[in-house]
Parts: sequence; C-alpha cells; structure tokens
Amino acid sequence: MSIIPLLKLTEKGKHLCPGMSGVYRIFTCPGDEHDFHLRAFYGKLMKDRIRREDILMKESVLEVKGLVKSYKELKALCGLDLDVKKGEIFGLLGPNGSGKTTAMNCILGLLNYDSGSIRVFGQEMTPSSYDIRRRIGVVPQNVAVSDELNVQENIDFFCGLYVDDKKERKLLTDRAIDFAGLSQFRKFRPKKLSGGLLRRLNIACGIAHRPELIFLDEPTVAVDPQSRSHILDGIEKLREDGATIIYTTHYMEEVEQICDRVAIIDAGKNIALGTVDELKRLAAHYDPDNPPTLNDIFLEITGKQLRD
Amino acid sequence: MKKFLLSFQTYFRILFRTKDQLFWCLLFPILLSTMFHFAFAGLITETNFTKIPVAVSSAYPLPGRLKTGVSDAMKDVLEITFTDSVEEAEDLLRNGKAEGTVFLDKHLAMQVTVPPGSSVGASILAGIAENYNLVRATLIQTYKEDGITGLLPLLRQLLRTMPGKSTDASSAGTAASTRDIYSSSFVANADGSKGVDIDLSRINFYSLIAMFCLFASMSGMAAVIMTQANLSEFGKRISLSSASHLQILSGFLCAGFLVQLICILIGLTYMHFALGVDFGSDTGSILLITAAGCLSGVCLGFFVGSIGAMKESTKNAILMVIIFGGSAAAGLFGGNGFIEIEHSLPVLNRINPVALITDAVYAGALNGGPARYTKDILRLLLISALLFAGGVIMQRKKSYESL
Repeated sequence: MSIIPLLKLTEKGKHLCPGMSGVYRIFTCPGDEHDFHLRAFYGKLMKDRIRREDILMKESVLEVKGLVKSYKELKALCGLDLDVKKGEIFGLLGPNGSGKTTAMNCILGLLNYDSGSIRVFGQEMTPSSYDIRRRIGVVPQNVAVSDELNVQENIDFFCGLYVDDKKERKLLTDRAIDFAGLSQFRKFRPKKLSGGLLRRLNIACGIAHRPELIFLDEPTVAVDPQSRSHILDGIEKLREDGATIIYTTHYMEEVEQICDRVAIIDAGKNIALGTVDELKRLAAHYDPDNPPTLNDIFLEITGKQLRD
Repeated sequence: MKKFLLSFQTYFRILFRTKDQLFWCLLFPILLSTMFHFAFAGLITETNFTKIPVAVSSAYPLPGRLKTGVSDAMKDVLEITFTDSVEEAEDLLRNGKAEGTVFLDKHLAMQVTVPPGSSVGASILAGIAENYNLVRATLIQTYKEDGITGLLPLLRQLLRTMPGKSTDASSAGTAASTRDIYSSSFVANADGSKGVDIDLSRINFYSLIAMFCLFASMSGMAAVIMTQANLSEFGKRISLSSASHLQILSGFLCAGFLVQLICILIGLTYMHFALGVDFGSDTGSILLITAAGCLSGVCLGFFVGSIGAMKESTKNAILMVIIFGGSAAAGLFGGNGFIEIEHSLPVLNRINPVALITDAVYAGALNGGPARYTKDILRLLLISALLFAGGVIMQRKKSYESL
C-alpha cells in the first residue's frame, strides 16, 4: 500500500482545509474511509486517481528519505522525502529559497548533505556513482553551453560525456537536434540563437544520451508560448519514450498540463504531495464546478509573503 | 581515453574560437614584439648605436692607466671626457656636450647626474652607475663579513661574468662594457661559460617570450572554471556527467598547452622572420624551453584556478600579479630586477618561471651553457609538477558544501 502523505483533512469526506491549524495526516489509498468519501464526492477525479495508482504501483526511480542539508546556520532541507516512480512526470514546486535546487544538487551528488538517504534506480547515490549518472540527464536552469561551439558541436560534446561510440553519438546527436527542432540551426553558435532556441539547445544537450531519469530545472523560463508549447510537448514525448522526469517550474499551468504528481516544497520539506487535482482539493473552499487553479492552491499552502 | 580525446578536441576548438584568448596569446605578443622592435631594435646594436657623451670627474685624481682602461672598455658605448673638477663636468652638461656627468666620490661610489627629461642614453648611463654601485656595495659587504678570503671567489666570479675582457682583478670593475654589464646583470654565467656579444634588445624579446609562455595560465585557469560545478554552469553540467572530472580536465589542460605552444611558435616565427630577432642556431633548444614554459604556464593556471571557491576575477588578478610581477622581476620592463634579486633573494629567481624561461632562452640561443640551460628546464619542470600536483589535490573533491 502506498503512502500519499500530507493531504490536510478536517472533517471526514468533506473539505480539505489547508492553512488551518489542523495536523497533517497521512492517508492511504485505496480503501481508506476518507478516500472513499472523496471519490464519491468528486467523481470526476476517479480517472485521475486510477492513473495515480498506476504510477504508484511502479518501481521507484528516485527515493529520498529524511534529507537534511544545512548551510552553516541555515537549514536548507529539513528531512525532505521524495519518491518518484518510473515513467512519471513529477513536478517539484516551491517558492524561491524553498530548497528545490539544493534538493536537486544533493540528489545529483553535487552537494554534500548532513543526513538522510538518496537512492536512484535502487542504488545509493554518491559523488562517484558514474554508472547511475550515465542514466541521468540534467537540464539546468541557466543555459549551460559553450558560446564557441555551434549547436551540433555542443550537443555532440555533452552526449560524448556519456557515450563513447562515435557512430552512436552521431545518431543520438542528430536525434536530439530533431527532437529540439534545431535542424535548421545546426551550425549556429548560441549567440545567434533566440531565447527559445537557446532553451531548446539547453534541453537537447541534457537529453541527447537518452537518459532514463531527467531533471528539468525551469526549462521554459523566458520563452515565448510557441517555444514553451514545443518544449512541453517534447517533455511528454520523452515520457512516452520511457523516461522519468522531475520537473521544477514556477509556471503552474505547465504543471497542470504535464505533471502526473506534484510535490510542493517549502522551508526545506515537502508540505503537499499528490496529483494536481488532489492538490486542488486542498483549497479551503473547494467548489467542484469552479475549481481553484493550482496557483491559488500554491499560494494558499505556501502563503503570500515575499520570499528571498 | 575517448573522453580525454573528446575534451581535448573540444577545448582546442573553443580556445581557437575565443577572441580574448587569441588576442592575449597570439595578437598581443605580436603587437608587443613589434612595439619592442621599434622601441629597442637598432638602439643598442653594434652598427646603429650612438655613443653617449659623458663627463667624468672624481674626488681624487684618477691614475692615467685607469683612465685609459675605462675609456677603452667603454669605447663602444661611452664617449668619455675626463674633467679636473665637478664644475667643469657640469659645464659640459650645460653646454650639451655631455648627456650626463659621472662623479666618483672619495669612497669610489659613482654618482650620475642627468638633466631632466633625459634621453635613453642618460638612462643607460644611470643603469651603468647603478650596476657599478651594486657590485661595489656587494664587494664591500663581503669584505666586511669575510675579509679578503671571501672577496677572492667573488672577484673570480665577477671576472667570469665579464667575458672576453681582462682577466686581472684590478681592471675587472671597470673593464666591462655596457653590453657586458647589461647582459651579465640580466643573466649571470654562473657556470663560468664563455659569454658572447649580445644585442640588448634580444633580452627584451626573450623576456617577452617568457611572459607569453606564462599566458598559457589563462587557458589553464579557464579549463578549471569550465569544468568545476561551483564556478560555471558549463562545469556543473560536466560534473553531473558520467565522465571522470579529472579526465575531462586533463584533456582541457593538454589542449590549452598545445594552443599556447602554437601561438608562441607563430610569435617566434614572426619575431625571427619579420623582426629579425636572432634565436641562435639551436632551434631545438628554443622549442624545448618554449614547451616547458607553456607547460609551467598551464600548470600555474590550473593551480590558481583550483584554489578554493574564489571569484574568477580574483583568480585572474592573482594570475596577472604573478605573470607581470614575475616579468618585472625578470627585467622585462627595464631595471635590474634580476641581478638585484640575485643578490638579495636568489631563491626568487629560481622559482620565478619568467626568469627561468628567459634565462634558459638566453642560454639556449646564445650558447650560454648547457648546464645552465638544463638546470633551468629541470627547475621549470619541477615547478610545473608541483603546481600540477597541488591542483590535482585541490580538484579531488567531488562534491561541494555549497554551489
């Protein structure tokens, strides 16, 4: 039985009331009494529920338990738990400074952490886990390519860090170029590319070696709707090809569009986890005919005060 | 190995496409050497040099033999007029018949007077006096500390540094020509090898080459920055890959070394064929020292780049201080830094890569002695090895406390 933590409950089967001083409860599904009420009350969520359960049946690709990381006196992560299943698009949301990037860097073995455990593909992740890293792709928030190399050379280089065989590398590079819609810009240097094309190049460099687990850190920042749509379609395509995706963004509509499950992190720990619809039901005054947006929920859960 | 080759090839490409890199490592040496050519070439050459008129007076009558000896020794450089009094010498200076006056006081210290806004000739004169006084002070100090027994080896050494001149100690202090003083002040023939005539402007070119060898440190440091997760996004991506960080870094460093070597070779070719700088007949030894110089430059950049989580600008500043400070200490920008350091803190000359490279190029080009050349190369390689080892130790850390 899988555990869906952190949905806030007040009265049985009625409203989920985040923001009140109730205690976070962990409820299980299916068969849980509260869950039954929820299903009955929100019938339209059934499909979504089943999908979630399908996901939860799958094996874990990433398991993070009790992750703690401090920067001197500042606690960046306070016992973070994550469980990402194979083949899902997992949204990692949180206000600025909530610990998302720190969590990702710890998971990827870049940052030391104080305590907790990180397992990727069932194995413990360490800074020298090169075998695990070979199966991971990372698309950083900032465009990380060389201005002196053209599109093809950049993708080829980053692909070459994972793939030794030259022929295979060439095929993968061509595939990534096609995937990102950069065929016409193969010989362009990054400085000649628009913001959207740059973002696509950034993504192509991260996924060229066909990783099984992909971290996408705000890949659609400052791009136009067309590029964003292209990127989001691409992410769905990656999932269809079997990749598991961990996606961080501040654009809630993107999360609604593509994420199977979402974790909201604040102050270094996850404060909500579930599908988008489950999270929506956390609204204090939920109206199924006029459901709140994920953005409303996010603000309700994390508060409206400005963050660093 | 494949990842090493991939990173080598990629960084090689990147460096040759980086405009800053090309400017500093290729264009700047060519521009500066051209400038040096017009500033110095022909100034102190055998054919074009105009003798510097100088009026010499002393606190006590100089023996005729000494006067003749000095005049003969300096005949290529100075046009000496001995006067009976300081006033008479000053008259010559005022009338423009002398570019400077030299006064030997009762302690035989040399005092030079040159008019304000003086010419290059007057500067050379001041340089000669400075050297003379330095040698004199050293001799006196040695005599005070060790007596005549301590003085003898020094005199013997002094004689060796004044090649082709009188071998008797009495004339050693005055027999050196300007060229000898300059060349000996720059690079002492410590192994007693026979010296040769030297075009002074060459030394500037040699120091220039040394400085540009150390410019390889820029690509060395850039390699570290491009591969380190806490210094660049590019580095973060590399650190997250399944490739060994040190393997990628090694490829980058080797590419940096090769690119700098190619740039230097282009520079040397330009200096030789376009500017007519003579590097002697032993091309192989010049190439070897240039390669060793580039290696030490890359290792220096690797070491400085690997120090902690300093900002790139701070690391750049450290490199510039080392390169330009080292060049100044080796005498690139004039003065007698090398000889003064040789007297006061010789170990600095042994660890200053610019001084070592200059000295080795000098020794290689002018047959200054295989022993000295070999020692310089070995010292450079040792320094490179130490810097590289230090860098590797600092680079071994695989994860960070913060990014």
